Amino acid sequence: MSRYIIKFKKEGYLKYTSHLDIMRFFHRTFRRAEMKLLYSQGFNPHPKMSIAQPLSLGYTSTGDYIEIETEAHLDLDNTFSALNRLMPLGMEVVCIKAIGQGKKTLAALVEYGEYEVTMDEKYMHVGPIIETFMQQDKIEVKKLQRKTGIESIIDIKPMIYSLGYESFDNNIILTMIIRNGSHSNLNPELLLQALLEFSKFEDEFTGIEINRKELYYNDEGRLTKLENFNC
Amino acid sequence: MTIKNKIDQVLIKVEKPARYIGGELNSVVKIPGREANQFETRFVFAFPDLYEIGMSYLGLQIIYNLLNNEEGVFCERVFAPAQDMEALMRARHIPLFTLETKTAVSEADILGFTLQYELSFTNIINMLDLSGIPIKSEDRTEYHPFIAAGGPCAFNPEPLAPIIDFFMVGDGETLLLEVTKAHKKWKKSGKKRLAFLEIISQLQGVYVPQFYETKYHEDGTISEIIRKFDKAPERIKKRIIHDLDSAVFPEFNMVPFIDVVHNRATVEIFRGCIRGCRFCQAGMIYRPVRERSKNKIKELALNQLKNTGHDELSILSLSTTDYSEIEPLVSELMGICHSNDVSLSLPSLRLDSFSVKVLEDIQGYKKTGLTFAPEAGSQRLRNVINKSITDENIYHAAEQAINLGWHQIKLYFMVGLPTETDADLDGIVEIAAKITDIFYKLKGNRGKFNITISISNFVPKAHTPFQWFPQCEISEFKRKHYYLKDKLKTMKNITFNYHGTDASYLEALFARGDRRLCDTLIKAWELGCKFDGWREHLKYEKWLEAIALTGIDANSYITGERAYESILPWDIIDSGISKKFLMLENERSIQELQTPNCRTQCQDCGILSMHNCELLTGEN
Repeated sequence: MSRYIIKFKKEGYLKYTSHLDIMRFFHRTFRRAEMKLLYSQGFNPHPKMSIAQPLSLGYTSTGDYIEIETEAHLDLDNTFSALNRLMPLGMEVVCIKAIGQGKKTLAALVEYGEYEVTMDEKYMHVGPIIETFMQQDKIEVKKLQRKTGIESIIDIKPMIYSLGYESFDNNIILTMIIRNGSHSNLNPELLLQALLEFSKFEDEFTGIEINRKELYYNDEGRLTKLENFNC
Repeated sequence: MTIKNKIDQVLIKVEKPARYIGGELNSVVKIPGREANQFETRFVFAFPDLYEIGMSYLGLQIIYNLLNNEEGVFCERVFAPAQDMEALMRARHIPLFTLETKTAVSEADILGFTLQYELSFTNIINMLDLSGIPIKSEDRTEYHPFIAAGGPCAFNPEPLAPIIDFFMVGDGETLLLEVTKAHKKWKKSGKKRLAFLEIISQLQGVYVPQFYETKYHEDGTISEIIRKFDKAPERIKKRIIHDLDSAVFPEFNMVPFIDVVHNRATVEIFRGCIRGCRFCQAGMIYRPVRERSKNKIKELALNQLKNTGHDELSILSLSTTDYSEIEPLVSELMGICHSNDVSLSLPSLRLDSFSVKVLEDIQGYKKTGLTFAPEAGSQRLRNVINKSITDENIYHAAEQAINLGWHQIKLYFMVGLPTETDADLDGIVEIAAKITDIFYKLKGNRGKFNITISISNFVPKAHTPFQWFPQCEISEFKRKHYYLKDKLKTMKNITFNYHGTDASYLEALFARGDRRLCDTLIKAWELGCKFDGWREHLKYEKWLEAIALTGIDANSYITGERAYESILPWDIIDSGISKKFLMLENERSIQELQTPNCRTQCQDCGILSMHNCELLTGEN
């Protein structure tokens, strides 16, 4: 019995596939690669595989993670190349790594996500105001509770670890590290909305692309990439 | 802005955007040119319904695989966009595009529609319109693609005759390759559009409707069919492949990312059916039975599983249990499935003890439900339709199933069958009551039990013994539904479903329609009709309006009886089954006589003129 984490990219048109689609995709891919996954016990056995943090439909990702448990040890070099041979255009395995039999799952471990938001020239004015935006005591946004339909006001400032930008000739890229996990989670679009409102931008949002670049866990106070996890 | 950029802006706004992205495992991309692996003929396979429906259709996988393995040919796919996507495409001037390369469909050389059911016809018009291609054949120029069509509804092609440039009738495996070969040659020759149609009209199975003109009597029946191109065949013989083992069959099936109706490995085990149920079009037009060998089936199944990673395997035919080596086949497939962690699914089983036992082996403790199709409630009516199931078969199978632990049984029936009376409907109620009794007798009051009775409405179809029968009136269908509903509602544990009568009425109109209906079809589309097969989208009032506006006497097509002597719109198609046989079967149905299946006794249906049928040499 062995446990592995696989870091992967999901780009291009595949951003239009859902979390469940990707789960099914990996399940079939592992079967094609003849990797025997362990199954849960009980009436409805499920393969032991889970994605660290679901990605919203429409986002690309260059740093997503899936963890699996297999019956036998895997030869990592062979598995890495076998998986990449089976990947369709847009999917790529970045690395695969064995981890110990700790109790914590990746999903329980992950705390922060790093997002890159690429925006077109309409938004060039946003960069310079980020500093004042972040100096506010509170960053309050309206949030619609999906279940109840009630709109509430929440302060998202404690959920932002960092927010920066780089501007180019005709676009601007925001980089945000924000809460992303099962304990506390901030939707990057909520932060974007707050920032754009602060900048008095009122049109419909278009020409915005979101990529999740990395997931982090808290290693004794230090934000650490999930791929460095070992326990 | 390119189509790709425009598409990228709308996909995030629509439901299930992955319907439109392509790039699935085993999908193919080629580039134009004359080098190896490049293409000269762009064939676009069009399924006139949603992606989830089309991608579950095995014929698509067969044709895609067949054409893309052909040097110089590239087969791409397109499906009917859902209404949210269509609205955005129209608003932003995005033409209908292919999934593989996001190329405008209007750039295809041949755009081939599959005709699986009559109620998808308005979607064909809608897809042509979204592509910017003129709807009628006569309005197309040298720059437009050829519009082709095939599939079961091509056996009565007439309602679409003014739209489609050429139909391909019968098995497509060899015919499609001959058509694409002819196309490559024609393209190099620089000849006119008409020349291509003339060339392919000489291939067995190709029907070019513009080469024929239909004349009518005053009463609306057909007086004659005139050929306008002297070399066009008098009747179009369906195409047939003689040996399934050597026929091309996919081993690299495309695997959708999103959940579709069936996302599994599928092997066709035989084509055709030995049974000869008199209402069933598939049972006639796919004659004769041609089996794939057991070893070939296993080989294909293993390769598909390996190349797709699917965890479900299904075998396909019109009647699984009639495969000559079904017991060894199923046990060997179960072996394959067991060692590969794959589940096996067996559709189209008959009501016999073997089937129940096999299902027990497959489903184990995860019993979903047991589905059987007696089709009619009384032995008399089952004789009329030639469905060789007895009451004893039904009760025996139910008893066995209940003993093995099933507590959900689903039964399919048809109403409105020729000669049907209320006594036959009572038979449906009686079957439900007796099965419930069997449950209580065996299990007492323990556990839940449910019987689902699903009713569909009889639609007379072309090329069947029932092609001359009228469909019953809508009011009579409704009366029958309420009659059953009323009797079943007092019974415990019964779920009763029935099909909408509106859809059955329209299906009947087009199933036996002629060329004059094409204008009705176009009018209905102009009034907003599409996705007519979807209960939530069917606009019946608009259909009635279209029928009235185009001056069609719909009832004469639907509830009117037809004479043996009259020329039927689909007589232009030779399915291989003789009219003499269909008439004899029609007579025998009135006499309530069953006809033995093809393996017991050859009925001389006519197919021997096309194929050396060897069904009887095996067992007898």
